[in-house]
Amino acid sequence: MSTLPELSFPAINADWHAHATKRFAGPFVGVNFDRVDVDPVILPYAAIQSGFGLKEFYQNPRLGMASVCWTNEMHDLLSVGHWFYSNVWMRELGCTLKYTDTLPPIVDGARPIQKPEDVDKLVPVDVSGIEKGPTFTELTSGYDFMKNGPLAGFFVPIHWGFCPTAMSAEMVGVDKFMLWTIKQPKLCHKIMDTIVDTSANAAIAIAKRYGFAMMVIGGVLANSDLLSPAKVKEYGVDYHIKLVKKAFKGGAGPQLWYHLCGNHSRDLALWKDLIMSPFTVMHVGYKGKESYPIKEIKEMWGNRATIMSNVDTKLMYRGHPKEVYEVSKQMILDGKDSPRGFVHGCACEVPAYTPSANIYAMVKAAREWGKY
Amino acid sequence: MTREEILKGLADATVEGDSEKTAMFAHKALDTGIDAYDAIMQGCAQGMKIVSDKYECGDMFVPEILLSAEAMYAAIDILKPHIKAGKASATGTVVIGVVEGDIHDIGKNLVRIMLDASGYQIVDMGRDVPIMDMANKAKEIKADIVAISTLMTTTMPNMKKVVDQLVALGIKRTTKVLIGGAPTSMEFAKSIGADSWCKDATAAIGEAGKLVVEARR
Repeated sequence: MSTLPELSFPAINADWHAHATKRFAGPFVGVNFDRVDVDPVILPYAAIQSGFGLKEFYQNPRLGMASVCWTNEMHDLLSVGHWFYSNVWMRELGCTLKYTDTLPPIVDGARPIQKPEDVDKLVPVDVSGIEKGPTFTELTSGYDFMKNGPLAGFFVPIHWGFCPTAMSAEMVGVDKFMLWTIKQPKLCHKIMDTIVDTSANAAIAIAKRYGFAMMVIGGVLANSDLLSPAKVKEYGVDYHIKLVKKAFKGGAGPQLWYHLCGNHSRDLALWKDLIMSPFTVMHVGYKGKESYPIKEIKEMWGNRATIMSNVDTKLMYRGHPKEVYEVSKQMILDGKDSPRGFVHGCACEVPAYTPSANIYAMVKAAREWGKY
Repeated sequence: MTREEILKGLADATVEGDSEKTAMFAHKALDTGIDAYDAIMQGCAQGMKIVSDKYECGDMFVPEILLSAEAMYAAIDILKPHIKAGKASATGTVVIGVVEGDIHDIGKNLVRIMLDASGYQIVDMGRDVPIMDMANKAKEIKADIVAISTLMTTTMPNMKKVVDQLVALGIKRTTKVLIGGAPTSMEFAKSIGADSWCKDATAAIGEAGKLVVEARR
């Protein structure tokens, strides 16, 4: 390839983009445009479809963002681009990231917290520290590329806060952190406070540079497969509220995307009173092993947020287009009349090697059953 | 203290996650002449069975299981050196690990704990385990089972490579393959030549029992 990989895509079709933008904006301005929008949560899938690999996708945010935008046009998906990974802002707190061909960046090597005494040394990274750090530099290289280049229309500055619980656990090691929630709860809260303050400062730094910062956050470890409802509240819900409050106060937002990953069969009601702006998307993964029923999510948050659906990612990866289509059809029928709008999506990031026919099945269902 | 009281004490302290108590009961078991293997199987393992049942019905979660496991291992560390030769591998030997390319090991660790508590001899290879290492270890220790997990679709193909490697080493008939992890299924297990699949750590105990019988047939 003779050109930079991020420049290897043709210009986005302006007519398509203008149309898709109206569709995307619909739920947030109270207008039901032509049909339900589709967001399978495209990440490395975009790179694979474009002939690149996972490592390239995450090591080169420009390529990552460009491939997502291109794939969005290819499948008639969102008019905005995104690029993120879960262990964001961890390098600023002393972790080392490793890039592989099979995973998003992982925390590698010794954790910054080896023993309880190490927690005392933890200090949140302030806005200036964030601005000088490797993550911000990397992220803004991608965002500046989008904002000032041919993908300008796709640009939305996103602060990916991920799951404060999972990030805290990475500081110690997941098993040890889990044990500490019983044996050393004070230390866990100190770590979580540090993570949340750092994450809020990162959101503020992004807002400072671009004028606003959409916040993407979610409960990944804080779910019913791993923690009791009481612990989900203590280590998940309460910190989501704290993070959003602090970030909003500093100028981040107003868009919010809550992604409650995994199984929330026992804890969903605890998340009911999350802070929500008028531009909030609520996305819940599973109830046990099944996709969380859209009707129940709509009932809980339909009046406060745009509801996003949740086709099982296993079905996306292993199912047939007909199965994906039928599941999509039902979800769309259940959700399209939600008071603050509806987006048809997958329960989590669509697997990288998902057959593209299954993405098309989602879109086809939206075209045929999601018309307004 | 009677034998029953000591074994019950071991079980209860395991459920409570009280390492001091399990250690104390382990010493008592040895002092009163209770066979070390029986103390593990009829004391700690019974406790972990209760923990497993509680997890299954949502009365206990991962932190509590890890605490119980810590308590169980506190007793096992004391009792293990006193187990009579041959008894430890009687239930079965398992090589367990997260497949090459993946590092998500919460599920694998829970399965290891449950199998440990059920009397299996376990070799835990950790996470992101090279395919050859899993297969070679299985051959080296004549494992009844190779248990592999992954949370990522991107690393599912490596599970098949482990199966293929066991075939290449000529040990697939006597070493059965048990797989698990969120994106996997029984259908997928069969498609790659694995022998079984378990949906969670509790189910792993039952599946492992069946596989050992098959492996030793």
